[in-house]
Amino acid sequence: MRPRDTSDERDDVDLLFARLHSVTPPADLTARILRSLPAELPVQAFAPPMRSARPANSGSNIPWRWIALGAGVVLAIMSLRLGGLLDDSGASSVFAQIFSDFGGFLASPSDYLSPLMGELPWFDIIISLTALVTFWVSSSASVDQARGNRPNGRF
Amino acid sequence: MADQSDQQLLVRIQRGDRRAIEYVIDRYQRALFNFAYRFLNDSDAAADIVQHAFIQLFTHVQDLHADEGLKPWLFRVARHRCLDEIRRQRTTAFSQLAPDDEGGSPLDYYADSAPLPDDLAERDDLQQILAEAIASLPPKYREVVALRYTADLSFAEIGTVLGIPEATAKTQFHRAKPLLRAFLRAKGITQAV
Repeated sequence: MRPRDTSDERDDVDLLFARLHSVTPPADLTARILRSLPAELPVQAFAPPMRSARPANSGSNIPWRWIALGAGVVLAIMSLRLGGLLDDSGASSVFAQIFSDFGGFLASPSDYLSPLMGELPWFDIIISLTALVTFWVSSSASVDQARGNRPNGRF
Repeated sequence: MADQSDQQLLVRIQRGDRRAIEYVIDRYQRALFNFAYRFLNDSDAAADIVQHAFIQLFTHVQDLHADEGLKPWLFRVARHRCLDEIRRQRTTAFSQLAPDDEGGSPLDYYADSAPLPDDLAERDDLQQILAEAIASLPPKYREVVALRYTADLSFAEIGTVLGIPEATAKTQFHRAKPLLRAFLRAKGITQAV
C-alpha cells in the first residue's frame, strides 16, 4: 500500500511495506455485521440533515401539523358559510324534500336536481371539499411524522 | 449509490436506508480489517473489531456530525477497541520494546546483522515478517504505522483518528521507522533504495 502523502520521499522501509499484502476479510463478515444490526435502526423519519449536506426534495420539513390546523379552520368557516348559503338559496329545503320523498326523487330525479344545479354555491362547495381533503391528508401525515420522531425499540 | 460521498450515504443511513449501510460496509471493511489485523495480528479479533465498529456507527448514526468524517470515526472506534484488546491480553512483547527510562533502547534488542542480498520476491516469509515488524512495535507507534501502511490514511487523517496534530503523527511515524528497519534487518530483510 502506498502512503497518500507524496510530499515525503519513500525510503527503504516504505518500499518494503509497499509489498505488504492487503488481507481479505472473512467472506461472511458483511453478513455478520448486517445480522447483528438491530431490526429497526435508530432512525428519525425526518432527521435533520447533516450540517453541510442538505438533501434535495426530502419533504421532511413540511409542517403537516400546521397545515392540518389551517385546513381545519377553513373547513369550520366554510361549513358555517355553506350552511347559510344553502339556506338562503333554498337548496337546503330541496335537500329536505329529497330525503323526505326519496321514492319520488328516484322516480324523477331531474325534478329535484334541476333547481339545485342553479342554486348550489359551487365555489364554496369546492373550497370546502378542498379544505376537507387537505385536513384529512395533513392530519394523517402529521401522525406519521410524530410516529417517526419517536425513538425506536431497543437495539 | 457506490459513487455517493460518505456524507450522502450517512444521510441515507440516518433515514434507515439499509442499502446505504451495505455500501458503507463494503467501502471500509477491508481497510478497517487490515488495520485491526495488523494491530493485533489476530484475524478473529480483527473481524470482531470491524463488526463492533460498524455496529457502533449504526447505533449512533444520529449523533454524527457532518464535519467529523465517517472514515476517521470508524478508525477511531476500531483503534479504541484494539487498545482495549491489547490491555485485555496484556501482551508482553511491546513491554520489551518500549523505551524505558533506564536508558535502554529498543534498537538494542535487534542484533545488527549484515543485510543479505536476498531476492525479496523469493521470500515466502516476507509477508509474515512485515506483519511481525508492525506487531513488534509499541502500541503508540504500532497504531500510526498500521494506519499508514495498511489503511492508507494520510497523516492528517491519522491525526484525526488519534486525536493528535498531524505533525505529531508524522513524528511518531518517523520514530517508528528505525525500529522497523532494525527488526527487518535482524530478519535479513533489506530494501535497496
